Amino acid sequence: MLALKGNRTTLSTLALALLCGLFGTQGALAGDTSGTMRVGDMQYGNGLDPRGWTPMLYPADPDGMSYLHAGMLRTPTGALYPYPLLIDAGKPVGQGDWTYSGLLEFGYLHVGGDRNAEYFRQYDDWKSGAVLGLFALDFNNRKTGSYVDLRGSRISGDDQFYRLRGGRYGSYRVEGFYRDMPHTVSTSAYPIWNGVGSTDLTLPSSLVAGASTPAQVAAVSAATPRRSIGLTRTRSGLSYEGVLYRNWIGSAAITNEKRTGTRLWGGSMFFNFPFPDNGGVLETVRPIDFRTTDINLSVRNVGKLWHFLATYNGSFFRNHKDHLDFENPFALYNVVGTPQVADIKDGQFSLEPDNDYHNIRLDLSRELKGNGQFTVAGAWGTMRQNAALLPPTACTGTGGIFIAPPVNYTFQCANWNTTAALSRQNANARIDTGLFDARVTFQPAPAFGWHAGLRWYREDDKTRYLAYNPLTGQYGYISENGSQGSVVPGETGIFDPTNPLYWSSNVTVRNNPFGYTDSIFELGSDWQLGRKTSLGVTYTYDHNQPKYRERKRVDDQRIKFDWVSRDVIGATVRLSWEYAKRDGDKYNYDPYAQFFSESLPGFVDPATGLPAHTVADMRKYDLSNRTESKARAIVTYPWGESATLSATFYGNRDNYDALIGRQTTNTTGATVQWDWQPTPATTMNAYLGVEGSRMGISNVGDSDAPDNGAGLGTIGQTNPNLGGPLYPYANQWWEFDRESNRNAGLSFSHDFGRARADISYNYTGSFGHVGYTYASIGALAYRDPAGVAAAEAGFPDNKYRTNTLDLGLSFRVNRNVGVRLYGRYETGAFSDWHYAGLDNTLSYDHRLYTDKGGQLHYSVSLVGVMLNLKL
Amino acid sequence: MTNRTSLLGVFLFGCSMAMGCVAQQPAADAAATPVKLLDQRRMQPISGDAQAGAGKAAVCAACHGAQGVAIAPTFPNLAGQSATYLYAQLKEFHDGQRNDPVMTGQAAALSDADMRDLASYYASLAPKPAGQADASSRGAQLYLAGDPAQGIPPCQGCHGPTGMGPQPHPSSAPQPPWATFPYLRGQSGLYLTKQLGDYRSGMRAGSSNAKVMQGVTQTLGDADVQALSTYLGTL
Amino acid sequence: MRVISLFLAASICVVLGAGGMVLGSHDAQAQQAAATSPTDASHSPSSGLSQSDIAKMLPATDMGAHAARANNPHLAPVDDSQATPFDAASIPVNPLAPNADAVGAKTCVACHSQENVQASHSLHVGAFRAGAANSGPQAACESCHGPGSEHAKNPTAPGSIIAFTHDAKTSPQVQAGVCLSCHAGGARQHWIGSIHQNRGLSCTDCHNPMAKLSPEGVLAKSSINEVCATCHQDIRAKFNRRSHMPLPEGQIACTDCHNPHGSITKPLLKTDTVNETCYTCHAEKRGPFLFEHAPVRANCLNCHDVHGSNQQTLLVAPIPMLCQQCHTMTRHPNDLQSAAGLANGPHPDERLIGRGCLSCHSNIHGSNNPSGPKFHE
Repeated sequence: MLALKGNRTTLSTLALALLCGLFGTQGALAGDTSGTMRVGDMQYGNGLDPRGWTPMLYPADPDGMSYLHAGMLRTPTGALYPYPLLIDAGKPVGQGDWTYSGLLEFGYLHVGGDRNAEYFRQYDDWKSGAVLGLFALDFNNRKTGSYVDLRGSRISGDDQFYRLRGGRYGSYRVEGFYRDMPHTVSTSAYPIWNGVGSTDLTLPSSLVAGASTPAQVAAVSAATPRRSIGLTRTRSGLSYEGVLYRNWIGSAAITNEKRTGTRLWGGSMFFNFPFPDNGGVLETVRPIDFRTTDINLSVRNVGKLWHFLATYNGSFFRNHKDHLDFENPFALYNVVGTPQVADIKDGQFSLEPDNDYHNIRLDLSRELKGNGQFTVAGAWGTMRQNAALLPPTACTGTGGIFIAPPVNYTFQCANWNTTAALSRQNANARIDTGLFDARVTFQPAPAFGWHAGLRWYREDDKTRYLAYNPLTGQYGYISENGSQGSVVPGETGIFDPTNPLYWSSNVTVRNNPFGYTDSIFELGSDWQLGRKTSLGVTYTYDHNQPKYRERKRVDDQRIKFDWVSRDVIGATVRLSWEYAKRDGDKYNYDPYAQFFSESLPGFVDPATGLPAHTVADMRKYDLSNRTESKARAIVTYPWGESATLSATFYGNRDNYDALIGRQTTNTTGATVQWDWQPTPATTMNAYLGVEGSRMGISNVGDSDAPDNGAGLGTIGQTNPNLGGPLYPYANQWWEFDRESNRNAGLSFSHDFGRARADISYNYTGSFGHVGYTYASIGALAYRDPAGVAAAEAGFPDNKYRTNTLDLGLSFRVNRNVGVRLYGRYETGAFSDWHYAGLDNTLSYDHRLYTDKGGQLHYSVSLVGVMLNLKL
Repeated sequence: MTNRTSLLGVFLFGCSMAMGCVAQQPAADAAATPVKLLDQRRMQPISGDAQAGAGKAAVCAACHGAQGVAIAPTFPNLAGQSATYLYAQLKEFHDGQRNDPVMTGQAAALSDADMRDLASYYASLAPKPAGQADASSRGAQLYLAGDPAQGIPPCQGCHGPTGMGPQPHPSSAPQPPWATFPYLRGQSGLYLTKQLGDYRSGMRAGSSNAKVMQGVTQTLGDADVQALSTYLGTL
Repeated sequence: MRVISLFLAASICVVLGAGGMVLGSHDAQAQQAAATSPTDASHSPSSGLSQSDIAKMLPATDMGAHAARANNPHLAPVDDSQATPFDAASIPVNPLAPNADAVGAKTCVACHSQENVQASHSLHVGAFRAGAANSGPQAACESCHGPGSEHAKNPTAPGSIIAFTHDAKTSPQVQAGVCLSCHAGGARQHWIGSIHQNRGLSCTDCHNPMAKLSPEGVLAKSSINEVCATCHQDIRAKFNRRSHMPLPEGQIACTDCHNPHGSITKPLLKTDTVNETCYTCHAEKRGPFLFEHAPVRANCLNCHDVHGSNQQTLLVAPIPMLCQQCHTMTRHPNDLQSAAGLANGPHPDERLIGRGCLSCHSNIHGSNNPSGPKFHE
């Protein structure tokens, strides 16, 4: 009847209706949150209750949503809406119009089993003790529409959240929150240093810095007690959003984050692998002591024709522990020349500097004649940092190597260990960004629409630093805390145009201010094929101009087809397929000469020429020629009245046109999920997911030894080509990482009346295999018989598996009191070859590790009893 | 460690059970009176043996007439009524969701098959012939268009444009149990007045359909009830 | 810039404000609408009701509200009133039933009583009712569902009312247009042309204002992450991997980074670029640093898989394979590290064990040390 007649007129008014709706606002303001315009803090929950309000969800209203029909309706796509909860009308507060309702759930939690399992504690601070499951208090004034909400939950002092909101519907809202979020990085760490968590790591008294033997260090490491490495994020914020004047809505938010703790770090005192009993590779522990303050302001005016939105985002990062000093236990010695003159034992890191960020953005939309819309946006941003720089080194005395006069590769640390050795005292680093985006959408006919867009973005790094030492007139730096130049002659990192020993030394002397300009043009159209099906095509041309990279121009063209049908035997099916091809201008394998000392006056090419910067056939995968195709299908099938079956299928195939570098990436996967809710008292859900992926790369070992080509050190080292003397074909190798992931789960919840039972089981399993092939053993790092045999055996497989079983039983004692028994049993298995062998010892010659890695197996249980009070 | 936990758990468990038992007593006392609501939302149209029903309807004819048209206006006409509706009413009388001095006793003796057969029998009878209703009357206006000023919805939405039941369009959405909605055409005005009054006062509230009618009848004033009954009775 | 006692100050302000609101409730009673006049006994058709008809209806309806306001000098003009803006909400046109008239919320609630119970406690309808009860006629059910007279007469007629669920004949564009008539702008500034709009999603695929299914956001499921996972199951499954951000633990939501209502940055990010989104929480990586690492400055996704990874710290490939995709300079980066280099192998190698390359090149995101061109310091 109406539908048939209305079909034609309907479609023509569709877009009109949408655009009218969009622009025909009669000044009606909606108090929706601007939280969706800010990054972060949209979800408050914890491991005990990821939703953040689950105790308030029960019981469900046994009458359901309607007396007119059973069950629940579905979303337009076909997913079922859950049954609503039983309404708590609230109790009056005194004599006025305010009512309140609330819930308090608290109890005792006990953790048993492997409570220190790393993956069990990753983001939860499980502790045996009292827990606050949920404290919720809601006040409402039905007459004025004012409200005050409070929510809080606490597992421990490091894992809790509280949030207070108040306001008046359609008028304004004020919110304040405080939350602590833990992150455990490792629970089996054995750092030998004192002062873990501070900026100074000192060796225990039994070890002498720079003079200890591997055996002594290994003994100390074996006796070090276990500790955990991790950090806590504490966030607090205040925000306001409300009607400023007539149609103007503004919002303001200030958020502060304090992040404290420790993380695993490193420490380099030159290689150990080519020099037995020399060098030093230390896994240290760095402090984390950050403060970040964010300010977000916005003002918007949604009028009849124009939609206006202006936003300011500011972020101010302060690092209260912005450097790390560590003592190196191992003794270094120079491979040539005697006597030993250098005493390198102190290491230093500059950690992240304080930075400021500002971004101002303006978005404007306007309705156009002929069912159109025009949107334009512009943004300007800047990131700045001007921290005081540390001196190039922390060494004392003499560094370097003295061979025999006149071959003197030593340097005086005093010339390099003060800020007088710097070309400037502060970093003076700055990146400015600019964005311009314009889009236009038209719906000229009922079944046809088209859109076009243009986006331009530029990132401009204005940092310019020259590594020049005014005290000595030399360029460069002191590499690896002075160790490199003290083990191998001439590799300190210094370029000196007046010194024949250093005037062929090719070292970094300038910073590379990477930046880019990215322009994207998009053109697309949609056709409505019948009432329930649509087809769309979009073409995108991405023109990227990187600065100071291997390519000056990278163009990525992409075509995307999408097909949506709401009734494929009752199911909604969304399919999309896209194909992209990237190419660009000539690939210059070495555009970096201008940042190295080879570009400075006075540089003398060595007799054998400089070794090629890298192999000319290498293609860095963010710039290389590449074809990509992606396909995805999302299917939602309404199964009967109370079940939904949904599935996704997806696959990506990337092929990079590179002889050396990343060559392929494939991913294929599928998920299927079944949801069932026959009555308000029962829900059940089961899901399965599989995904397989593979990444393949190729690389080539340079011929740096007599037994793999002996090209390095000869004139052939200037030849950058694959197949040349420096990078012979015989040394080429290929590596792939194949991963397979499986997920499965089942959950069931039923309300028996007086009691409610819920059970949930989740399984995650990942398996990874890294394999490799090589043209000849010349590619290998170790070419002796034992090494070759081990190489042929291959890496052991990586795996990560967790099984989690959750059981809950809630009793309703009377109308206001309930008891909840809760149990979780989790087991896991983990294996990663990066940690193979570390269980036995963390000390390998001059290498000292701290983290033994995640537990190979763990099983842990949580048992909790909670009292549930309705307030 | 685990001993302490299990002990604590047992203790709390025991406490809650004890409290539950105590709490249950007053609840049990209160539970004696309200009967479980008849949820008609998933009710499927019934089928039964009309022939067998004819044989069992002898007693019913005393009040409801030999041809299903009642002998007195206080009793409802059953001829041509929706079978599923009739079955649901017998069930409600049987289970206690609906109370009537006569019908409760009558329905108590019926088995489920009896109820189906009787319902099918009366549904198969020819309905009372259509009358001449005043199309411009208040009752007609209420039935066909409702009264938005009073918040009265048009009855024809569920009871059909001619009072002979709804004619729903097919849809994949969860549907109301159309078959359980009664036909109102030619129903006794007096009976309708009483039923509308019972819905409004909450006397008749034992099924999900009754809950719907409760909401509808809240909007009706006495004059409206009268007008509707008159209109439907003469329809 | 230290914001030490921020929380203290904030909580004091908010508690005082909340207390003020609760204690100052006696003012609310003074704002109650006073207008009533004796009942008009005329049986007017569904349009052209008098102010008194409207005034005595509970819950309130909107039928010619604007006309009534304009004609009644005793009512405050909409813009200057203290009442909430819901008073000015209008009834959308239903393109599939252009001749329908408004019937008022009371009529709707007469049949849909249980829906009314649920809806009046949801944020959306509750807000309508609460704030709007103060002055004059307001819109209710029909401000979203359109005029209901055709539906009331024949409920199953397709398209007789603007419906928002699976079997609705109303198109997603009309549905979205209804919601956007109030909720345009702000986070939804770029809805038109966004990918969700393009795929024919309607607002009610993610939101359900008819019942309190979520604590905020008026969502269709009980939390943000469950809503997104309805369709994006594979992304949700990725978060269960060894290395992930705390979404399964309930501490972040998909919408912390993405704006599902549309944005000008692919893929639906809230900031100008991918990196700026990451820097909001990981501000230490913003720099700019003295010495930058090209893939870091270009795009965090060059090395990290934000939704979950089987490698440490969200990396897309194991170290050293990750680094060896780009680094093949002479000497140590380009040797094939094999099982021989494992800690329990014949030649333990620092480039493979533990954090591999990062054991020495620790400041891999960029270094602010004058000796840091290779990120050793």
